Amino acid sequence: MLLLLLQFLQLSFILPMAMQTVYLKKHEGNAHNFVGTLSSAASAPWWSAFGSQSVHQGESCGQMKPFALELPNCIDQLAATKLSARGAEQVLGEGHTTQFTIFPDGCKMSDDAQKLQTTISLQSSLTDPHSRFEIGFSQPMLCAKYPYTDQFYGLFSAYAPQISGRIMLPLNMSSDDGPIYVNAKQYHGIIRRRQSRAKAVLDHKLTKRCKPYMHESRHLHAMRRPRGSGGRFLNTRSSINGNGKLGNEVHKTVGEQLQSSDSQSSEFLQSEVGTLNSSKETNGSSPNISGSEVTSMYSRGGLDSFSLNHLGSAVHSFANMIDGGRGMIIPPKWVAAAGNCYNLKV
Amino acid sequence: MMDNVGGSSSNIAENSGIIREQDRLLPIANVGKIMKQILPPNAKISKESKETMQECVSEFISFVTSEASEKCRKERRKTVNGDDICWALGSLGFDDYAEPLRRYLQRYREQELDRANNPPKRG
Repeated sequence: MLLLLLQFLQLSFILPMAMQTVYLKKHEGNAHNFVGTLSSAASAPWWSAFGSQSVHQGESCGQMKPFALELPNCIDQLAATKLSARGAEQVLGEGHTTQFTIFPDGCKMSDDAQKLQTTISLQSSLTDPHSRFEIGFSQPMLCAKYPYTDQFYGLFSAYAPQISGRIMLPLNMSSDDGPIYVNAKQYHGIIRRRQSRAKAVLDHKLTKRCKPYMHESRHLHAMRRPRGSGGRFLNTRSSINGNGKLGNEVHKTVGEQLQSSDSQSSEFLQSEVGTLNSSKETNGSSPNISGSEVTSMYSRGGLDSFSLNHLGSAVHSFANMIDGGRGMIIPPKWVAAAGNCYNLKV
Repeated sequence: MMDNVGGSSSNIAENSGIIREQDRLLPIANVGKIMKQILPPNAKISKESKETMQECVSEFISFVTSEASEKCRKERRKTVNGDDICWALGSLGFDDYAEPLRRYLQRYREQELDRANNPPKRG
C-alpha cells in the first residue's frame, strides 16, 4: 500500500521535470522511475531522499496536499531534504577538485562532459564503491536526474507556486490516460465541480429519463382519447387529400415532436420516419388518412405501420425498425400492439 | 415548458428530490438553433453533435455559476447577480468573454430601465 502511494508520488515528481526535455527523454524518465522504485528497496538513503523531495515539491505546488496528509512521516524529513540539497551544491562546487582523481572510472559510464562531472561528484559523495558496483546500469540514469532537479527547483522558486500557469490535477481523480494539466485559475473550480457531480451520483439524484412522456396528466388524457383504425386519434380538425399534403403534415408533426421530446424519444422518432417512408414506397397511393397529434409515440409507431402494409412487407418494415433502432429493446407495449395487429388480421 | 399545475400528489411526490435530465441539460432544440446561427444555411448538424454540445454548455454553466456562488457564499449574500457572473468569468481566466458580457449586461439594464419608465400601452 505504502509502496503504491510512493510510486504515485515519484510519477508525479518526475513528469513535471520531463516537460523540460524532449519527448524521448520523457519515456526515459518513466523507465527511470520504475528502476528507481526497484532500487529504492535495496538502498535506504536513495529511498528516503527521493520520497522527501517529492513531498516537498507537492507542498510547493499545493496540488499534492491529500498525499502529504496521508504520509506524515515524509514531512518530517523536509529538513533532511534541504540539507542534502545543500550538500549536493557544495559537492558541485568542489567538482573541479575531485574530477581529476576519479577521471579513469567516470570515462566508462557517461558520454557528455556535463554528465561526467555530475556523475563523478554525486557518486563520490552519496554512494560507496561497493554499492555503486551493485546498482550498475541504473546508476547513471538515476544521477542524471539531479541536475534537472536543481534547475527545476530554481525555476520553481522564480515563478512561485505556478509553473507557467499550469497545475496538475490529482492522479486518483483524473483518467487513466495520465496527468492532466489545467489552468491554475480553474483548478479549484474543477475540483469543486467534480465533488458536486460525485455527490449527485452518490445521492442518486441524477437519474436518466425513462418515461416516454414528460407530464403524467397529459399522458393519461391521451390514453383516454378515442382512437380510430390504425391507432390515430378521432375528432381531429385537419384532413388530408393528396400525398404531397400528407408529406407536409408528417414533417410538421415530426417537427413538433422534435421540439418537445428528449434525445431518447427523438432517436425513436427517426426510426419511425424511416418506417413511414418504407410504407409509402410499398403502397403506390395511400388511402385517405386523417392527420392527428399523438402524444404516446410507441402506440402510433406500432399500429400505423402494420395497418398500412401487407403481411410480408410488415415483417420487412419490422426488420427495418430493428435495424433503425440499432438494437434497441422493443418496449412491451409495442409487442402487445404487434400482437393485436396479428389478431385483427386473423 | 410550464410545469404540471393540476398534477396529482403522487406526481409531485414522485418528482421531488430528483434532478431529471431535462432539468440538468438545456433543451436540445434550443442548442441546435444556437449552433445553426453560426453555420451556413445549408449546413446540417447531427444529433450526436447537439447532444455533445448540450453536455458541454450545461457543464460550463454549472462551472461558472459554481464559482460565482462561492463568491456570494463568502460575502454572505444569497442572490447571484450578473456582476458575480462577470467576475467569475474573469477569475476563471475567461477574460475575453467577461468584457463583452459586461457590456451586454449594461445594455440589458438600460433596456430594463426604459421598459420600466415607459410601460407598453394597453387597450
